[in-house]
Amino acid sequence: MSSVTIEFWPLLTSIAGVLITFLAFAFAFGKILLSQTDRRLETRFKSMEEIRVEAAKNWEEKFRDVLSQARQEAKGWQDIEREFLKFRAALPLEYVRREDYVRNQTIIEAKLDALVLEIKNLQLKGLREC
Amino acid sequence: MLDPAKTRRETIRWYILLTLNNARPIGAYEELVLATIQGIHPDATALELRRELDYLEDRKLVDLKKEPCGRWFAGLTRLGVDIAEYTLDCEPGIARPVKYW
Repeated sequence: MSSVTIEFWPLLTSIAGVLITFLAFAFAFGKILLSQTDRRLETRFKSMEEIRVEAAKNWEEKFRDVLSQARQEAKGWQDIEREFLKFRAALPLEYVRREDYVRNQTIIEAKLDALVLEIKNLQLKGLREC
Repeated sequence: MLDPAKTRRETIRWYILLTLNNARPIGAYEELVLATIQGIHPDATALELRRELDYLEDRKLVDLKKEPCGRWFAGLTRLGVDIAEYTLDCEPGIARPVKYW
């Protein structure tokens, strides 16, 4: 029966070599994996940042639109208010109140009636005196 | 024999018709009619006006709306317009002057 003799130090050296090689591979592989994950994350964050910037720009535009619209609306109301005040100022100059018209007109007609009656009386008196 | 109260009543009725004719097509509240009558008879009262308005309503010359708040709103009826415009002959009770124009 033949026996295989392995010397202790060469065996230890070769085991250590294999182990070191394995560890080196594992380290290299881990590093590659981590760098890839890192790169993917970076891309993802970048795209998210782009989306955020784009969304912020959209919101800003929308807010600007809303603000300008509100400003325009306020200006419109101001114009309407000014027109209304002008109208109110012109109202008594250009129009007569219906009540005033009715009263004045009726009183004038009544005075005309009274005047006619007076003239008739004068005429009768004159005829009687003749 | 001259009866001043009767003359006053009848002239007030005529002036009411005149006022409401000028207030057409809307009509008028009694305050406006009273203010007008007081322009001619300064001592005319609200009660006097209401009595004459009521009379005119009985004669179907005036359409009265007695609002729940107490105000009266008056408008001329077709007959009232015809009387005010001298289209119809006027029966006694209203001192409508003779048409002079």
